[in-house]
Amino acid sequence: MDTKNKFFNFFTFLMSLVPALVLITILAFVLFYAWPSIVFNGTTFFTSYIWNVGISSRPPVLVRGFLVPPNASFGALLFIESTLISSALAILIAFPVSFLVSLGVEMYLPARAKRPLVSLIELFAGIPSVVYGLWGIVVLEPLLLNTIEPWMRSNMYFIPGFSGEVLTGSGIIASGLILSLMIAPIITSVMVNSFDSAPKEIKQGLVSLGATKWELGKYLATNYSRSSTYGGALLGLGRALGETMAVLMVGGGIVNVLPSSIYSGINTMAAAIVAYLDSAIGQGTGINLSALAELSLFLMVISLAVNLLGRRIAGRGALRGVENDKL
Amino acid sequence: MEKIIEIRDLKVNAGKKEIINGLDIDIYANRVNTIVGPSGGGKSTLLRCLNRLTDLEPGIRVNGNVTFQGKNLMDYDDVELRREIGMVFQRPNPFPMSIYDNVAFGLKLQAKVSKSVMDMMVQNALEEVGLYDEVRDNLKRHANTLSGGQQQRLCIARALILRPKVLMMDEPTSSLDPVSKGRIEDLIKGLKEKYTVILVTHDMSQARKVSDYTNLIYNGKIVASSEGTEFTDIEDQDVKDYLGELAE
Ligand SMILES: Nc1ncnc2c1ncn2[C@@H]1O[C@H](COP(=O)(O)OP(=O)(O)OP(=O)(O)O)[C@@H](O)[C@H]1O
Ligand SMILES: [Mg+2]
Repeated sequence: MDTKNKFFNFFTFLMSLVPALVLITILAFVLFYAWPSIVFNGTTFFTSYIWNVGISSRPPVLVRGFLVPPNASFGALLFIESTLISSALAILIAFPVSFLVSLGVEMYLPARAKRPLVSLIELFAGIPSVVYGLWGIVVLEPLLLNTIEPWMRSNMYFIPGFSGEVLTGSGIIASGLILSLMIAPIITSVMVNSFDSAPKEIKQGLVSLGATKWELGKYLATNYSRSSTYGGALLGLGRALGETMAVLMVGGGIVNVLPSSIYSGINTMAAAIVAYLDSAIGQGTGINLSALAELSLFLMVISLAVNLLGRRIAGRGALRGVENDKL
Repeated sequence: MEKIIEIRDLKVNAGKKEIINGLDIDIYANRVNTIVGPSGGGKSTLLRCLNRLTDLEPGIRVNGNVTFQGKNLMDYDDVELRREIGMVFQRPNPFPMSIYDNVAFGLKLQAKVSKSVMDMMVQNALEEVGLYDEVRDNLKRHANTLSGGQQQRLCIARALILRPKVLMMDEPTSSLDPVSKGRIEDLIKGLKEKYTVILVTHDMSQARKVSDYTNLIYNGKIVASSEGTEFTDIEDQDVKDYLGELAE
């Protein structure tokens, strides 16, 4: 009995290490593949936006101990910038919209309608991203190209970055909108749940003292539900950073030129990895694949950092709650 | 006696369920107006109708004619109304912030007030509920560090700082010890100088101590009202039985 128990304890302890082991294995694996690129590119990887796979028809040359095609250079700045811009835009749109939707759900819907609606919202999060991408190409891009972007250009040109040329309809705005559509359900569902779980006595107390619905929502979002508010936003950001298919479809897939205005095309890290993987695998020196592995590594590090930050904020909020209860 | 609130034929439904069906009641100014009645009789719902907290419950429908200071309740701006009809809840519900911030909260929402004026108003409100001397050196302390009775008085102060016309209290002592309860009962008797009090209670001895005018609610209707706390000429046997239970 006792030994059985001990064995069980030991076994569950081992199993508890599995997630950490998996994570470390993946990191090690990606790092191993990325290593030639890290050495070969050095800091250029982050400072240059020229992604040049070199001339593979000529014999490879030896650079810093690695064989690479002549002229090859891998600068990921465009991909990094594209990812950050599109994700930032997505959060900028999705966060206030989610806040207003959750406030509306909390304030205006009867309890029995709330649950089904939240389920419906959560269902949105399960729609495959290729569907969003398709909708983006068929509906959104023409709308942006023919109507919205020309309107923005002639009416908002005084805002820096809004006066550029409208070319295709794909790019920053399309990606930001599609991403926001994809992450808003996540943020909304976190927010609705946290508004809903705030104590009724506190909500009624606030309103009884003359708080408007708006002030009530603001108070909940910044106090009671603060950790969920930020946690939800970071969850959404994590999703946006790593989202691949939809931004591959509506990003524009540009190369070797940085976006010059809000109408420019982009090429996110995740999209670039998918787009270039096929040709990289067949390439003889392996440096192409290694450069994509470095890109993956960087994307992974950013995503992990966002997630960790989210947890820390959420954790701090939770701790504060406990302290309050104890006092 | 001056009537400050008149309710005629109030009906409240939650879906098909009738919570209040055809209730009439008068609330007299500068009196302690007490409402007693069995659990589930609709007492809290009635109070929530009066400051229109029911607006926030989309499943609830309210009908009837309610006038407050001669004006229809629905013609008030809801926020304005809630500042004039304050509410204290059954369980003390201080916000998770300092004592000072709790008391200042409602006023801060309403107007930009200078620090010195705010300090004065907060002190005033705390004095009104007899809490100031107990917390004067610790106004920055977290409100959750107060005892239950102190928290409830804090919640009363928080409502009073808005200078309401009416203060509604929904079983304000039911979660408190006898000493705290006694203090709040004394407080209630003093409050009617300046405010109209509506008190919901289960406790007949409390009603006898503080009530000027008592209403008995049963199955969503006022079945008897009386100055003081003695009800005469009640026909309904169920209501009589209930009163008998209360008296024990
Ligand atoms: N939002 C709501 N939806 C559905 N039913 C409700 C709602 N609010 C109250 N009720 C019902 O209305 C009835 C009266 O409730 P209320 O809280 O007003 O009673 P009460 O007299 O205050 O009771 P107690 O003395 O226990 O506090 C109860 O049966 C309750 O379940
Ligand atoms: Mg009640």
